[in-house]
Amino acid sequence: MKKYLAIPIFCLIAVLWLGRVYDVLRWKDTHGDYLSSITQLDSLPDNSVDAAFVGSSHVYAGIYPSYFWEDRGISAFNTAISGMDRDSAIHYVKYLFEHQSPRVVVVDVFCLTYEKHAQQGNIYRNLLSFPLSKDGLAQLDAYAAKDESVSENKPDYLTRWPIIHTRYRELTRRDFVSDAPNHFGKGEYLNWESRTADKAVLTEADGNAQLSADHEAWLKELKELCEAHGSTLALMALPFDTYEGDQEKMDATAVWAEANGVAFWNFNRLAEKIGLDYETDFFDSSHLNALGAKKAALFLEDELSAVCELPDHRGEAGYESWDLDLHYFTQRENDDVLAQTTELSEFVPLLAGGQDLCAVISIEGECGEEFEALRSLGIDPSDSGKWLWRNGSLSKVMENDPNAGELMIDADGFSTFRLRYLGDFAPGNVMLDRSDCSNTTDGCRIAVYDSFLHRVVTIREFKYEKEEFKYFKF
Amino acid sequence: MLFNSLPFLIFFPAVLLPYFIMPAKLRQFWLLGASYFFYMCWNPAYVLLILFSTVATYAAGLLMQKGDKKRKKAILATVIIMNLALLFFFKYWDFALANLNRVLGLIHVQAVKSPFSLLLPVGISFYTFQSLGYAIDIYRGKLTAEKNFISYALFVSFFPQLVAGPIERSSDLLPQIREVGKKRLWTREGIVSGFGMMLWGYFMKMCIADRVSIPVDAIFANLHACGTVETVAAAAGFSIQIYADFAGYSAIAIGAARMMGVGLTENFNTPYFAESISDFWHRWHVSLSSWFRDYVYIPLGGNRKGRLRKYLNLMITFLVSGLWHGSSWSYVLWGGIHGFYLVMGEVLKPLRERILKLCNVDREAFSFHFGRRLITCLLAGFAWIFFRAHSIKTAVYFVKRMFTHYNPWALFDESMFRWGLDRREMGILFFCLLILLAVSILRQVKKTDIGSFLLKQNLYFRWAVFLLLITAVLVWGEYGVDFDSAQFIYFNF
Repeated sequence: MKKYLAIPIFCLIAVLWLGRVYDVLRWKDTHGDYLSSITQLDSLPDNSVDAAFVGSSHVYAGIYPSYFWEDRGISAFNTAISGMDRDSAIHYVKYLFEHQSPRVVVVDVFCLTYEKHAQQGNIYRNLLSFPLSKDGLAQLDAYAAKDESVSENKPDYLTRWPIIHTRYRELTRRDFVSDAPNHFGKGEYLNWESRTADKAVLTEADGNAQLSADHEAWLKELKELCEAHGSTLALMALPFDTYEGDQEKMDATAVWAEANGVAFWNFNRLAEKIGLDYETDFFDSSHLNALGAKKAALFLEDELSAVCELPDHRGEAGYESWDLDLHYFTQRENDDVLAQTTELSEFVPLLAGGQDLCAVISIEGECGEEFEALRSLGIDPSDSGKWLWRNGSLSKVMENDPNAGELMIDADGFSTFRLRYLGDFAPGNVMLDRSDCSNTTDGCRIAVYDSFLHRVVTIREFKYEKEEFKYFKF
Repeated sequence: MLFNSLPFLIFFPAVLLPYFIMPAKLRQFWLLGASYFFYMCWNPAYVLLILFSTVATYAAGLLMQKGDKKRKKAILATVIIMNLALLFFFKYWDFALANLNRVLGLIHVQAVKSPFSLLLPVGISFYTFQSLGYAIDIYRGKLTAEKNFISYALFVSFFPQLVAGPIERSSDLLPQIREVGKKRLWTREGIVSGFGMMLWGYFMKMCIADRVSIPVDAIFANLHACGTVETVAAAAGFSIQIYADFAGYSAIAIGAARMMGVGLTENFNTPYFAESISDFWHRWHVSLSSWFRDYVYIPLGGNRKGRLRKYLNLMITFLVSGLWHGSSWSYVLWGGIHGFYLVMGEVLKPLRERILKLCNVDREAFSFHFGRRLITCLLAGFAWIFFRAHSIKTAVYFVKRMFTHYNPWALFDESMFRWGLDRREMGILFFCLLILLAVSILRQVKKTDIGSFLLKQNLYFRWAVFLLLITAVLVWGEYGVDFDSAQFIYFNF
């Protein structure tokens, strides 16, 4: 028998190896910034969520739990995924209740406006993001009953490998290393980009709109599910661009909600009251951005407090991840502001006040009086060379000396600066990985890297315009 | 149930593990049941065909064993006609009718409509030929008839080689099948080398054949947009595809059988290393070409009846072989081309010898052998065009484009990456082809298959190769939701 022992040992090694390969290749929402609200939910301590939001991309774009935490200490969480349909919503709520006991579950009812997914990608997102479990199998059955492409390929969805194995074509660092905020995030997708949105065209609600039997059954199931777990159901419809019949469904939901004692907030109708600005608060016509999410949060904080008591958990043990999430949000916001700042006098204080930033400041050629702002960091603008700013401390790491050699500085475990001096404005004097951050003219160039978010914040050059050249402009 | 499908990956271990532990006397029944189940997965009704063919040849064998020569001849003729009629009806009926209607059309007679809607039973060409080989061997007195029906039925339907061969000789397979019911055939060595063969087969099929089929199919579907470069690439690509596909299938079949302790005939022996077309047919689909040699070419007279008759026999054998591959004139033409190659090879031999002597060519030099291999590959590759085109008209158009639309810039303007394989995929394909080349050289030099070679290596090396092959197949293999997985090409024959 001894000679056959190798077979189970090989099988064990193969399983371990393939498990690792699967972990790299497994489904990740690569078009959703690799965020997975299920991963984030699984990383939470049991029974720590008080307010759970469930829904589609409207939810992860429009509800920022970090606002709720910052303002009121409410432990909120988004269980949201692109194109979450009614079946998914039920199973996500069930999954939520497995480890959490939220006081209120707020479900976005946008899913009442469609029956099937228009995009294959959303089927993948909804099915493959969900863990393989009893609920996962029930969800797959529900999809298979509705969608031929799913029923025909059910074993592929079940085993997953036949679908995900082609991800070798799109692997990135994030497939091998799970970045923030997947381990502490609260399901929001942070976005400060603004685009002018179309305001939904609304007709006057006459109070007679009726839900279809399917929709009513779905709402009833949600309500019973929440009640069975001692939770309160609330409904909302974050602002979206409506098509024919959509608004009637929302109005019908309002009628049902009122009749069943369920709170319902239709943001299309509440836009004015909340103060949503269609010029600044939207990423597109159906998705809020960070500014819109702030207004939605301020509104919901009051409304939810009226639905149930939501205690302030700030400072309590077990809620550290909400602090971390807020820090992540703040870091992203600060980085965003820093990246958009073009004046050195404004840039330097932001850099000085930032956390977890690593910056290389390279001064070559001449610098004039407009570079005086650098003094607040401790740099004499007339002293050319390479400086390193890391977590509030400054050090001059290299003179502009051709004999200085090369200096490597790790910004974090992933990115490295390479400094050298091959003459003023020589390409390659300052490299951040493969990006050239070298000066191109007189002045200073600052490459800022965020070692918390593991990404480049900005590479900005502040040029010195010599007096003699200034006259050329006239 | 394709070998590269999830059901087979469940079916095979489910058959194998109980087979290992059950009492010997049950094993034949177990394998027979598994084989019939395997076959019924395609179409349960068609199991009657294989059963009919089995019963007919089994009974014929027993009857021939007892009868005199005249009676034996009559029985053999009956069993051959019955089997070929079955094959004709299910495989060539529509083809024959289409040709009849073409002739009727020429004389303005209304076309005949087929009263049947037939689906080609999987593997019918293979098990029919295997059964016929058995009957002919008994008639020739080379074999005694199998008395145990279970053994014989398992010989005909043994699932690893049921649907696409190798076409086993009864003298090779039947004794092993008999032993299955008597003693333990499987060994650790067989399991290890069989597993290695199976992995290699999957690698060839899923990483090479199915990947190279993407541009080949795209080019054949858009011939109007192709010039010399694309058509040559498609011909070369299809040569690789059909080899990797069929040799891959055979490797899986051989590996699966080997794991059970049953040895199957080696079906491919680095055919593209052949130095002549004759050599090619000693290396390509060996079980079929030797079947045609023994049961068609030699009975026709072989090379015993003069030169002209030999040429005629060669042509007949290859035309029939072409028709065996599919019910289309393009297959017949493909067979005819190979027959023509062989005849011309014989006819031009003296001239070739004279030229070589005149040019003082060193026949031991690598370049000489390389040149012969290259020419053989080019000839075989050219013939594959007719095999792949599915109609003579398409094949002729393909060849016309090849020689009339000279477009060397296609090699440099990156347009070759627009036939379904981008740079990355093309890189993977070439990497896999390098591995295929390395293994082929190993086969040529060591005279052993990959499974047996790995068996002799150190454990860590063998396991590393196994893991790499498993990973390559699982990750780079062409399968899954978005992939319209091509069936093994030879299943259609």
